[in-house]
Amino acid sequence: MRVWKVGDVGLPADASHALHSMLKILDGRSAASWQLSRSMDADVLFVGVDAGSRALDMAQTTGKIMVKVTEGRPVSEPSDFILQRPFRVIQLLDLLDSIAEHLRKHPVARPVRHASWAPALSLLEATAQPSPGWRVAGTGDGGQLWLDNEYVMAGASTLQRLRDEPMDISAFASSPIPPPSDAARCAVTDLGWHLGWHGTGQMPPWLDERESYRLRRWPDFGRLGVQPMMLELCAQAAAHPVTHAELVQRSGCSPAQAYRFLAAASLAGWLVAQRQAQPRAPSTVRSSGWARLVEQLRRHLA
Amino acid sequence: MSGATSEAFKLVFTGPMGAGKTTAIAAVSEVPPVTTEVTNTDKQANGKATTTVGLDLGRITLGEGQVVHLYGTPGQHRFRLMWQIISRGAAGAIVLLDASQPDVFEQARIYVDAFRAWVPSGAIVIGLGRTDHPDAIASDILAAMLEGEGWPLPVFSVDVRKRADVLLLVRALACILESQLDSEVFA
Repeated sequence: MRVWKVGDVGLPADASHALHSMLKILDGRSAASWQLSRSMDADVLFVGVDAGSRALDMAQTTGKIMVKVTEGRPVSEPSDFILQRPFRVIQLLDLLDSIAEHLRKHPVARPVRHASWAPALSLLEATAQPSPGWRVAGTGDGGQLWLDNEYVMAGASTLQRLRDEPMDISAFASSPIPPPSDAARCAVTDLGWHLGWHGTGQMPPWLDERESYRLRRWPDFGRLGVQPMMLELCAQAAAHPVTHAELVQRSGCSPAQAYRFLAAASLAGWLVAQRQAQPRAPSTVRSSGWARLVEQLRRHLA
Repeated sequence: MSGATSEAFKLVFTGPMGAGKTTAIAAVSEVPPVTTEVTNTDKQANGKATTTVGLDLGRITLGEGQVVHLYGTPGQHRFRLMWQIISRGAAGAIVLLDASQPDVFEQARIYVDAFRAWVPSGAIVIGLGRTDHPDAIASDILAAMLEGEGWPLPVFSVDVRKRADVLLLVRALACILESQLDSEVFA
């Protein structure tokens, strides 16, 4: 029997506790075998959707099977898996059997972890929790970064370098020690963008090569600084949901740049997995006077 | 395609009084812009000495005689009629806002709502100035507000006195227009 891993993000403590306890009770009673795991390793994510946290955004970028856990009347797509709080063992069992059936019909590739993604994965995990407390990471220049839900705190010079250049950053770990009172701060989204753009240039393990993604919000390039191809990539991904291959083809960037962009946008929380309404035709040679004019303007300003 | 001929097209700079439209056009135009600045008699709305009452006009030449015209609208709402006239045939719009003004969200709504109707491509970029002011709102908050309204537009913190910042806005607009070349707007 295949073992499926279950993780939870953004659940209230009581719901998370109930889920964990019930999974133990259900062991051997479901059509599949379910094992509790960290969210980054999970095949199925139980996501708290009531708190308005980043949990849903983070979960949507993973392309994993998602169960929306809600206290109120569920607002959902017909294809969503929903679990209404408070829930009972029998409801969870029914739901897991439905998911097992879905997974049997629509097999998914299990995400593969990579050591070089450790800082990014630890950032995703930390920001998906409602109140993770302080997390701290070391930087290559001997500095430290403190992280809570919204902000990154560090010395002013460390934050400036974070904006200007690639920087080695370790994985975030819980810390009982808060940042110094004179620490400067920047948005967590800025750190996410940095980690992704300066990452490995490979497909992040929490995204799917075949999935289409749409950029739901542009980065503030006035604040972050802009590098070659960033504007082109954002414009393409904001206009339509795109796969990695389509992004490369339409923007003219390298495959590594497109991977970096997808990683950066998803770590900043601005990328959503979205099915294309209909497959887009391949980009054709643009020969109209208007097209040439726009292309000339873009090149003129580059 | 509405908004351009094969030899020229029009970009509009708009936004409330004092947001920096005239300054932005001057920063990127290759010729001294034509302006219609007069003494500001509406000091309650903004304390600056002069204001645009007609339009500003600048130019970027791309080569082979191809030209981008940069139009600036008057900022005062009583000249709203001019906004529509100036934006007729525009390929895109750059909305400049002042982050330190308490009504910045309302101003964003007014200008984006108006110019989305008038710019057929829907290509709009927001330039948010004075973000270092103590009372300034963060660009992320404005971007989230616009996203909530169903307008996922680029919002960039800029200093319109800096040519590079204004070019960033124009480049983003050009990239958005290029990304839409396959859509029905440009068919």
